[in-house]
Amino acid sequence: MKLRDDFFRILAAQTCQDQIEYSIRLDSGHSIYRDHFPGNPVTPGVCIIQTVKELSEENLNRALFLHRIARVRYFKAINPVDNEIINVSLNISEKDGYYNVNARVFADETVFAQLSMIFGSVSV
Amino acid sequence: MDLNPDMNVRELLPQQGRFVMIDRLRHLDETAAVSSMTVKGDNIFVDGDVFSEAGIIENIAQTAAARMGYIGKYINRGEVKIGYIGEIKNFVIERCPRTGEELTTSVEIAGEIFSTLMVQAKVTVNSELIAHGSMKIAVIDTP
Repeated sequence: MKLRDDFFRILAAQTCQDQIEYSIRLDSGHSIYRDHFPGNPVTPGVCIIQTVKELSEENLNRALFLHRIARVRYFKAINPVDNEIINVSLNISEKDGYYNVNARVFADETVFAQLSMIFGSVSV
Repeated sequence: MDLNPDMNVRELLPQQGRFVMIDRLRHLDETAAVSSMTVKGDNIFVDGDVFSEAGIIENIAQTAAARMGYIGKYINRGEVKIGYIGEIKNFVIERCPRTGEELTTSVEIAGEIFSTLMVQAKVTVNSELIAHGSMKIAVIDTP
């Protein structure tokens, strides 16, 4: 399953020093929201992980495998109707063939999630 | 206790439809739960024939959620509550499963504070350890 251009769309990307910030639009009509949860749409925490992975892949222009989660914290649930447009900032560094990705998911003053994950490249 | 294999797991989970990520809750006791799921081609977390990392994490969260759902419904005679992943920590994925493979997922309750459950999880395929780590799940009464 790829979420990009289906579950979310990239509206804009902006690079500032060693950080890249994406603005994305969530599709509140997506079937995932019918099942998670019926009558109470909430962006699944695992879809936030998948979104950060796909944005990192887009940024690095390579396929990634999530090898390790140092820590992922969710502070507030994302209702896709109230928060259709959210921001994801990425800070990516490479070490020994692995990519350290630190990400923050937010809108205005609200931080929804903070993620610190290590990806490996997928050999094709 | 080992549970009736015919029990419908959907009765134990707030997630529905194609977002249900376990087939069966197989075992449950005071401090643990075990689920199983065979990866099918039409699973929403399958890309090509690979079950994604996100799918593995959801499978673990729902194993813990099904345990809470069983206790809430059959032991406390209440409703199945909605739970959210609050935190994932020290989590390692060795490889992603492929379609046709059966995941056996066990969660051990490492602690419970108010309505937050801390679990230590392990996912195996034919006794090969493919993922492990810890997770906090917060349960809420009303959406």
